[in-house]
Amino acid sequence: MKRWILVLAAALPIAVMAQIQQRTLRPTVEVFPFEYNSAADDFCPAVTHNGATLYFTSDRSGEQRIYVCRSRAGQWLSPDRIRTLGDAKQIGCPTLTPDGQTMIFAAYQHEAGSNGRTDLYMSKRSEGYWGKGTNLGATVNSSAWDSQGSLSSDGRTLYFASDRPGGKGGTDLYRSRWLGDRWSEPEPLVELNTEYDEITPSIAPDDKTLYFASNRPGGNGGYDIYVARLQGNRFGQPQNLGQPINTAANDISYIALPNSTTAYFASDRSGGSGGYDIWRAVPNPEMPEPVVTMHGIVRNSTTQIPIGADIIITDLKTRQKVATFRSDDETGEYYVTLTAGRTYAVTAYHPDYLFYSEQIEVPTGERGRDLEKNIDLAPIAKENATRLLVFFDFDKADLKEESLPELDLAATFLREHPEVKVRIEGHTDDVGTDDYNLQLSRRRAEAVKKYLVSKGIDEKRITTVGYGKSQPKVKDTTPEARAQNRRVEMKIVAK
Amino acid sequence: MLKRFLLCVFAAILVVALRADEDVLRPKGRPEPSSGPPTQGIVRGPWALGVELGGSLSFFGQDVTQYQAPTYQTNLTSGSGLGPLLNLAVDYALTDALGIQARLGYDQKHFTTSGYMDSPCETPPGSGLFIPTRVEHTTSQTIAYWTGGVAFRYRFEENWMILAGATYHSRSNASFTETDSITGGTCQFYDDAGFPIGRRRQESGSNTSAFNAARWSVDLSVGYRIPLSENIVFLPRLAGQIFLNPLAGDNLSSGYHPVLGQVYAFTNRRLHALQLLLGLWFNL
Repeated sequence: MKRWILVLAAALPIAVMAQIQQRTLRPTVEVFPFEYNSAADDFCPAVTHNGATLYFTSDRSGEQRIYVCRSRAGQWLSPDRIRTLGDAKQIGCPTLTPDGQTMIFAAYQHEAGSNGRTDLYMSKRSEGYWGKGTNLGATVNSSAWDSQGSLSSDGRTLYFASDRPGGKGGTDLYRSRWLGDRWSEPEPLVELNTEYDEITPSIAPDDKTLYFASNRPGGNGGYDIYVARLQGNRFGQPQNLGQPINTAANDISYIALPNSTTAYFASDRSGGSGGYDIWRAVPNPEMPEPVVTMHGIVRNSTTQIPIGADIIITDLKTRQKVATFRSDDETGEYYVTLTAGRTYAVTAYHPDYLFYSEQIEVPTGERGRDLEKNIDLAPIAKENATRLLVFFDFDKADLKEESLPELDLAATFLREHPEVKVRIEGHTDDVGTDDYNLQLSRRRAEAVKKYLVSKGIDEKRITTVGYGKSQPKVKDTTPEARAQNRRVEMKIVAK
Repeated sequence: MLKRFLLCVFAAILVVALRADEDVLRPKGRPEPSSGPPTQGIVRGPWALGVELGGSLSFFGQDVTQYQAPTYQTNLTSGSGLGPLLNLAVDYALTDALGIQARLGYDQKHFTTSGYMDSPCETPPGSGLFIPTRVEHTTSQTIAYWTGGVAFRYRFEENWMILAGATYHSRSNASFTETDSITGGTCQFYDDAGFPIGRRRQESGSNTSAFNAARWSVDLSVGYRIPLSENIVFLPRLAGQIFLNPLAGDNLSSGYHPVLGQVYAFTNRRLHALQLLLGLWFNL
């Protein structure tokens, strides 16, 4: 008897602790209506990865159109209708690249023409305005209904919904990949599709977590939101997000923000403003993996005026361009999502400026980090210089392969500006003798020139000099300072 | 032939009008209105205009005080009857669930009361022999009102709603019909000249001033919306109407006999109603 009492006395606190832990691990999800919902349908929210801009679709004007809200001091400002995407009977369901400079949207009877019914279109942002959409083409768009695109964080994978023939029934989910010059033939996500409808796919910033809505049996009623995670090349078993995200009403268009506990979705549940409304869920019960992001402003190094520049992210190991973005023409802001465990070259390029490159290393295991990096581009003028992101083995002047994308860019720059003459300047850190460092820096500058000449640049336009350790960028002896001082620069000497 | 052709044309126009175009959310367009998502107001937008047609089932009651010998009035304590009503209403949605309505209408209250008594009847006439004879007395009253009211609407389910409000009734006119019928024996009624006129006599007329000119009611109702299209909703509604003031003043003089004095009196004359309304609401 005494033993049983002891066992019970021990079990009770364990049970209580387990209950407390369970409650701690599963926080209560709360949902709040978006403040600018209307009596009409408001759906397909899309937030730029920096969380500064919210796009959504509404038929408050009698037609489906895309609206945009900007954030100020944590509050959404009143929405503005985007009117520059071209004329169409219905326009909506935008998806954006993380930098917010490219949009893929759906439109019915768009003036740019269609392959049948509702199609997907792409628009680029320029000078603060969205351009008229262009049809994504017959590879992605079918003669059936194609809508509700969702771009991966590198902008190279597109998920969308379609009721084209060949699916499992109703509306199904498809995936197409950017092949460098065209989109691939869409492949159905057979592991997720059912004979019922699957709609509003949304790939999270980690590029692994996919949210979608389906009216398959077993839900709470109407459309419910499901989450599936990428395992290799296939998605795992989808999970219902449960209440209060899902209700007996229709719950769709779920999006997650990077490194945030906030999610947005649309629902026609009661308690809203009428029709479909946009809701905010906190915390997101099925958060994607944290990601590393980098943001900043591209500016004129002289005037500090923001510049809309192309930003190229290159994986230095594979020498593959993993993403090409553009900073905002008005604000110069850019935003990219990076994958942990890789070393990137981040290059900003504008035809009127010297390009700028920097190496960014994202350690394996890095999660939820937001890097800030402002980029100053120097105008093409005499004595302006840019550091070339080139790599040499220790104590050698042989170019390593990861230097080649940068030197290809330098060659392109020199081809585009035939009036420009440059001097390649080699620098070393303070380790070693003066004479040795001088010789090494000269040989390294020569190696760069040799490569550029091999790419068709007239050798008379390129001079070289080795400065050794005489012109350090940072006067310090720390490893970081030495890394900055070991460099090759390209300086404009005539224009 | 022409009629059939016009019907076909009308049906075709209706089909085209109701067919929904696809959009970026729905490949087959909007679903049928009956299975559509909740709307903000009764129809879709915040403003809606409604026309309601229905009937008022009135419940009349009064207290009858008998001072002298029994009369059939003793039995006239209650009655009921059905009258038509018509409303024109406007609804404005304050929130998704809550709205306010204003309505103008024409409401006819009708009720019938009946009673009987055994009256001595000389049978045969002039025989000096009186036998009790049952006489049925029926009074049918119709009072028409112009009405105006406001109500709060609360939608507690997607299509279910309750309304609570008040209505002002302004009396328009009133009429009555009284009928006496001899239901047993061989007696008849006689006119003033002494000629028999049969076993049934009836009198009709206007008695507008007999009823209060203004009445207030508290209205509670429950309604169910059935969308017919994106902009039209059919909304049947069942309402209870409790009046706060009497139908008419106390009647202490109608039962006065020159010899016997006060025979009976009517007091606490009340009328409440149950209404069934069939409404068509249009999005504004």
